[in-house]
Parts: sequence; structure tokens; C-alpha cells
Amino acid sequence: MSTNTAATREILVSPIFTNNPVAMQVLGVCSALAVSNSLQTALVMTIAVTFVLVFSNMIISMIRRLIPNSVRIIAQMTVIATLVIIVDMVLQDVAYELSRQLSVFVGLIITNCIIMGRAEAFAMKNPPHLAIVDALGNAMGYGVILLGVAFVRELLGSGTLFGHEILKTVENGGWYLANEMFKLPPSAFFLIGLMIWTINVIQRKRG
Amino acid sequence: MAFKKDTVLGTMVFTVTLCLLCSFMLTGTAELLKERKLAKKRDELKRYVLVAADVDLGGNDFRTIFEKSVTPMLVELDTGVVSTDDNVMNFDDRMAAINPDTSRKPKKDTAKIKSRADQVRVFKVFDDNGKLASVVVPIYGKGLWSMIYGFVAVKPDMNTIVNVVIYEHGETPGIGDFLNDPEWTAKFQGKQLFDEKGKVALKVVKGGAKEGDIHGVDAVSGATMTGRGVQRSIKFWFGNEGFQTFFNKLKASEV
Repeated sequence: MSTNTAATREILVSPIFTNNPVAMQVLGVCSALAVSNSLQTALVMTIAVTFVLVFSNMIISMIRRLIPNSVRIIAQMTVIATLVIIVDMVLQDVAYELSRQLSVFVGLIITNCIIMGRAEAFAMKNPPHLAIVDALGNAMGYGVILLGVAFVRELLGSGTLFGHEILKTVENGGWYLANEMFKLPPSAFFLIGLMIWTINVIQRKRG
Repeated sequence: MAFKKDTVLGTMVFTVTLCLLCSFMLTGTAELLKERKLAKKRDELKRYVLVAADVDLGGNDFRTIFEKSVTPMLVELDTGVVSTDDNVMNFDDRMAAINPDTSRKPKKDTAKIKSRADQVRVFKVFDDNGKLASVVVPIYGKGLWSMIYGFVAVKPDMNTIVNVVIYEHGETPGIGDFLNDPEWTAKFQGKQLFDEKGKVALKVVKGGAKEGDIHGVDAVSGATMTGRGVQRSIKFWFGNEGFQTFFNKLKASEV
């Protein structure tokens, strides 16, 4: 039993840092670039991805013995697409303004490689409870990067965190001259690049 | 297990079942959220009408203000006949405009709308003393890429614009979306729709309207077609196939 829990722990924890889907496998970068200019959108995006990832992994893992080999990718896609559309509809209902800001990127969760990748690589081979743990771990790994990038971008780009003023910008009569570059998608490239670099250096030191 | 998943039949059965299950999940969610979505649409409509009429909310909820000072009504465009009932807010103007039974092709389609509904929902806005403050009418027409939808509020003289609000369009992001900018729509405030002869004279002027021009609104460079779309919509909707008959009746205080 103890080895079992240790293995489960490993499944949950390793995608957050050592095997991070964004930083180490460079998956799902597209959406990470697009929605990371404020913490609020990044958080909502993380929640949406977590929901889709957990349920897609769970459902696919439950029906994994029934999925015919020749149509397995299509079957996974169908499940994922259904979940994403549900998330999109719910989001439009509860947070219309936010869903407008996220625009197409909620729909594009369908093509997020992390979800596809976990379904094919993990959920197809493992029982549901492990698949859920794996989904949670990967979603957190995605969320950590996304929120990290959004933290830097919102702080340096607009001087705010979650819309609350931290650094008073010159426009509002303060001292901080906002760096407009951080509001634009390319800055996320630099930040994710730096993160990948840092994580790699630490990994190598550990051996 | 009797189910052989990798046979042709097995694959077929699996895919059909999966698709059915997924579609049930989707329709189920859509059905659950439908009522709330409609209510939200109605609320949004109310809010835009109040913005168009330039009503000061004064910290109150826009729904209560709307209930208190706005009367929605349906207008038969060709005759100017007005009707009100409890269901006016549920009137589906988009559906009415494409249903051949409730619409017709305009003779002179300046706004490029292809078919025009026989009935349109308009709003009478009253001030605190119960006097008519403005009439809010919907307009729409084609811009460069898309239909532009908006409301125009007109003062009781049936000529001076109170405010304009554009609430839906699909024009080029970054170029045509000045339509949503309250600063741009505010340029319509106080402008006059008609000239002395009663023809629609409001224009979106390229290169900027002259100082003191009571009919001209500044265009935005780079978005010629979008501005022209707004101008043509106004021309159509306040012309004789639009609200002219209704306005004449209002002026004669018959409604």
C-alpha cells in the first residue's frame, strides 16, 4: 500500500515541476501566450483546463477497454470537444465579460496538446483514479506556469495584480512607467523561455 | 465479454453510442442554461436602451429604472400603428426580420439588410415628471464585414439625437471597433437627423465634420466602410421605409 501511495504521489507531483507539461514538454504554449496578460484570465483559463483535463481523463480511462483501436484518437477528441463546449457555455453564463476576453481560447482548449497527450499517453493505459490524479497534476503544472507568467506580465505591464493597483503607474499620477511590452504576447515567449531555462538548470544540478 | 471492439460492427456501435451520449450532454447543458441566457439577453437590451437614452442611473439598478421610466412597444413600420402588450420584451426582432411572413424586401435597400421586419420594437423613455424624454429606436445595417446593430435615442422634437449606442458588430478589430467607443458615439449627441425639407441629412464626414455642422459626425480614418455603414443605416431607418411614418405620427401626437 505504501509503494502505491508513493507512486500516486509521484504521478501528482512530477508534472508540476520535474516533468512540467509546458516547460519540459513544451505543450500547450499557444494558449499560455495568449491569455497570460492578466492574472484573472489566467486563473479562469487554468480552471477551465483543469475541468476539461480531469473529466476527459476520467471518462476516457473509464471507457478505455471499449475504445476500438482504429478510432481511439477520434473518440478522445469527441469527449474532449464535448467537455470544452460545455465549459464554454457555462463560462458564458456565469462570467460573460471574462469569456469575451478569453474569446476563442476557451474553444482552443480542444486542441491543447496537454489534454490530448494525457488522454493518449496516460488515461488509455491506467484506471480512472490514477488518471484523475495525473490530470490534476498536469493541470497544476500548466496552471503554475500560466499564473507565473501572468503574475510578471500583469505586474510589469499594468502595475496591478488581479486588477488591484500595486505599482502606481505614471498615467495614474504615480511613479511606475508601465512596460507596454509585457501586455503583448511576445513577452510571454521570453518569460516562458526564461522559466524553461531555470527549471533545466535546477534539474541538471540535481542530476 | 461479447462486445468485440475491434470489429467493424464494434467500432460502428461504439462511435454511434459515444456521439449520441456526447450530443445528449451538450443539448442537456444548452437546455439548462437557455432560460438564464434569454434573461441575460433581455437585461442587456434594457441596459443598452438606457445608455442610448442617456438616462442617469444614479446608483440604482438599471432594471428598476427601466421598469419605471421606459415603455417598450411594437410599431408597424408602414402604418405607424403602435401596440403594447406584456410580451413586447420577448419579441424576437432578428427572427421577425428573416421570417418571410413578418418581413418584406425593402424597395430601396440603402442599409443592405435584404429583408426588413414589418414590426419593430421601440422604447419610449419618460423623465421623472412623466414627460416624454426620448424615443429609442433600433437601427442596423451592413458595414464592411458585418451587420452593425445599435440604438438611436431621439428627442421629442423627433429630430435631435440624444445619444447613439452600437451594441453588436463584427468589424475589423482595432480598426472598426471604434463603434463601441462611447467617445465616438457621443459625437452624435445633439446632432440633427433631418434637414429643413425633412430628408435624412445626418452624415459621417471623412476628414472631420466642420465646426458647427449640425448634421455631421467625424469619420474615423482607415474605417471608411464602417462609418459609411452607420450613415447608411441611419439613412435607411429614418427614411420612408423606416420610422418616418411613426415619427410623423408622434409629432402629430397621435400615438
